[in-house]
Amino acid sequence: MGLLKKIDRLTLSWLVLMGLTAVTLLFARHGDAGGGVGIAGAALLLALAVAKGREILLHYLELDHAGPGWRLLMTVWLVLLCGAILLVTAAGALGWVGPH
Amino acid sequence: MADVDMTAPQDRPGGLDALPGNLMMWILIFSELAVFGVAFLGFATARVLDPATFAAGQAHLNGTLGALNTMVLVTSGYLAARAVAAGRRGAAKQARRAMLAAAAVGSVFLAVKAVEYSATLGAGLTIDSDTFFTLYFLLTGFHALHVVLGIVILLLVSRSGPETLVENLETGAAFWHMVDLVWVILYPLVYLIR
Repeated sequence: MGLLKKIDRLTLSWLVLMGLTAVTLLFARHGDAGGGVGIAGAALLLALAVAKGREILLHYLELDHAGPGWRLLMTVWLVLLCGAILLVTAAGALGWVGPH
Repeated sequence: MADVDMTAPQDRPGGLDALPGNLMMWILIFSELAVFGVAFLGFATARVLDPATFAAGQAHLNGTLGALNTMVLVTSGYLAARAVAAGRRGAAKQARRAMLAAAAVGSVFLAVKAVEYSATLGAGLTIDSDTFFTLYFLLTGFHALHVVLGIVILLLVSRSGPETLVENLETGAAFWHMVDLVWVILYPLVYLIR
């Protein structure tokens, strides 16, 4: 814990981003070997993207100092976009929409 | 926390002044995020309409290189943010150095992208091959163009005089973080979800 206290918030953000990317690396190895990810995998990948995006918005782009309005607006953009991508992907995987 | 606050942005007034850097840059950032958002939804929809073509195309991509490039961009973004923090502290020399380092690391992204493109093009896969490769080259190419522009901006702002240094560093870094943000969605969408 002593070490964590010495790390400033920006460095912590970088470490979090590297850690989350390491998780996507597992998916990448799996995919490069020819594997699919399914709906749950897509959901997890998009959740990781939201987590990374939030880290960038709040600490790289400093929205944590910009007031709740900007934070909400940008977070809503991020979540809505990734949610819509998941919805479209799931609708295809479940056969609701697709080639005829 | 006291030593951390030195590098943190000062409390800003509300409204448009609450954002770091120049307002014009934020207007550009909002329009870029809107355009990329629509393009990403278009890609997801096109995949659902032709899953076989997209799966075959994705099998040619190297997801591991994509993850490497994510690490490159977030590291470069970190250095750019450090540069802004150093500028605010009054450490102009250190700020300029950190921004140049951010640009240098950013150029690694382009080198990796060049390796990736030479592999796909070498396999005879071009923007004309099929719907997947048309969208793949358009999305990744458009993003890579933003990386090129971002690197130029980082190099330019690192040359600012003392009067304008902090605001210019903030403005350049904001553009760079937007490029980063777009990539963390583009990467899983195009390379991993299949």
